[in-house]
Amino acid sequence: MDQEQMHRYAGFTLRDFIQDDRFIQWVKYPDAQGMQYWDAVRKAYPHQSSVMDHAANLIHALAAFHTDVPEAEIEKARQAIFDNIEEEKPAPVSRRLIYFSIAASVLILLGIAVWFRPQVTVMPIAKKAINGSQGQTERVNNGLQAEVIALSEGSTITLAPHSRVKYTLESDDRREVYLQGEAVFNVTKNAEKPFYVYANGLVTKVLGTQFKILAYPDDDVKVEVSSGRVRVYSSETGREHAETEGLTLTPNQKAVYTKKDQLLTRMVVAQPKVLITAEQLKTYTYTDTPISKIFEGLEDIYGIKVIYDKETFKNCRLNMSLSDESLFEKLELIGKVVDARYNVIDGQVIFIGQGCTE
Amino acid sequence: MRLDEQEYWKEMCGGNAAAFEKLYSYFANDLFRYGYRVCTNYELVQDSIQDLFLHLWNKRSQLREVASPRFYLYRSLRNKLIRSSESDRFVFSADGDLADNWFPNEKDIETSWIMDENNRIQLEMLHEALQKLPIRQQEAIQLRYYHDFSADEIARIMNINTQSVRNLQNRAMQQLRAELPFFPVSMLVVALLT
Repeated sequence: MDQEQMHRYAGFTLRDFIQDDRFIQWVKYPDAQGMQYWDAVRKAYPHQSSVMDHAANLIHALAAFHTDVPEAEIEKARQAIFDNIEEEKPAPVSRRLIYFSIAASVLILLGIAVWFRPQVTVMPIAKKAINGSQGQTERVNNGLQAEVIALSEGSTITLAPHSRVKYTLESDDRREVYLQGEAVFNVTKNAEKPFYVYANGLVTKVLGTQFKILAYPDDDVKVEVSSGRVRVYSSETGREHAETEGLTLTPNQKAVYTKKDQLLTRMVVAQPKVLITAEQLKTYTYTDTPISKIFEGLEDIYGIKVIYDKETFKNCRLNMSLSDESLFEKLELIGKVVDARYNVIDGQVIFIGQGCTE
Repeated sequence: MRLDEQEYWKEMCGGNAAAFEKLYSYFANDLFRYGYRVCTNYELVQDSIQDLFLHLWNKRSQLREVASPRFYLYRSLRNKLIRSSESDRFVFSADGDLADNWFPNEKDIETSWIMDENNRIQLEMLHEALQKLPIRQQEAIQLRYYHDFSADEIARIMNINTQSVRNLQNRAMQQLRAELPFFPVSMLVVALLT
């Protein structure tokens, strides 16, 4: 039956190929079965081989034709939608937490439950702050939209609705922020006065960088880094070693802190962002290139290291453009081509496979 | 990374807000991209997408299982945009001819064709050229090649017959090929074909 169907491709023009569903499907989502089928077509009709190549190129080019939408727009709509459905019919807490955790890939919430609960003792520093030291400022966002707070030393805090921060900037050796809810921090660099964010048992220490934090009462604390470096550690282990027992996060990594077990885990964010300019990104196109170069390219673009056995993969060469798709889609694609798979462990990608024959 | 849309859709109809958010996360980016393609009033796109999802949630108990949630969402978005858009540069404008002067002039083509080794410029030129096609042609192309709809589905989304979809696409290709004659014979983007 396939043979008969195949017959029709003998006289296909470029235009026919780019309108053929089966062909489009294969070009966009190549798989072994499709490979076999289209290789057979090529063998049966060698004169069509270059037409098919051209058609495939054209389909790739057309598939890259789409508008770019700022993530802020998508989040704005999300917020408007989910704020409204909550008003209408308040969801039970557990459900709220579920979708907060789903939203966590995009939002970061930092929470200090202890402010609003009796067991303040778990956070002595927070307690001190609450006791009304001078120069402490509190801001609560009861509105529907994120609020930008500009601090006198140049940093900004973008505070999500239903969130609050308290901060003190007076101290000589540190800047301190306590937060419940959700916020994005853009911190100006000042190595003399590190910036500390306290949230539900987790301390995030930075010198100057951009990052988001998500922490809700009764949920894990999540910290995601967009630029610079961030040190996170539990405020509940011994004071002395707390910081050395923490983790350093670099862009596109996140930490999840489970307060109950005082467990701190490093991961890759759900949607790693491109760290270079669109102009630079366009130059990451490879033809017949060793896989090592491609992984280096991915590290340039996303700041995420790919760990693999160089010896095993030394014969793998790929044609690939790194300018479309997400990091994980690209990894999946590479995995398909060289018959390998990947895991994300401790904020890095581990790539496993049998390698390629020469 | 395909989502089991049917399953989430069913869950959402049953009132599961987490499933609802999952559907939003999965489709929002592409729906925005589609909206931005057919409508230059981005605020209207923003409002329409909010309306679409709020409506979905409010009417969830009356919603049936649909054969393709994806198809349903695109079509609903398009209908919303039609209803609210008045004199915008939009899908419904006549399927007019190309404006003069919209292709890069001959000399530029020549230069880039000679100098361009890595095909990046060609891709940009193609996209620039596509951008200047009538909106309906752009819409059909984006739905077909980026959003992965079949010609039949596109016909139903755009409310025209399947042959018209093919015509739109053919016309677009003719214009592109007439203006960018080198295009199909050049290695354009690196395909994973080897």
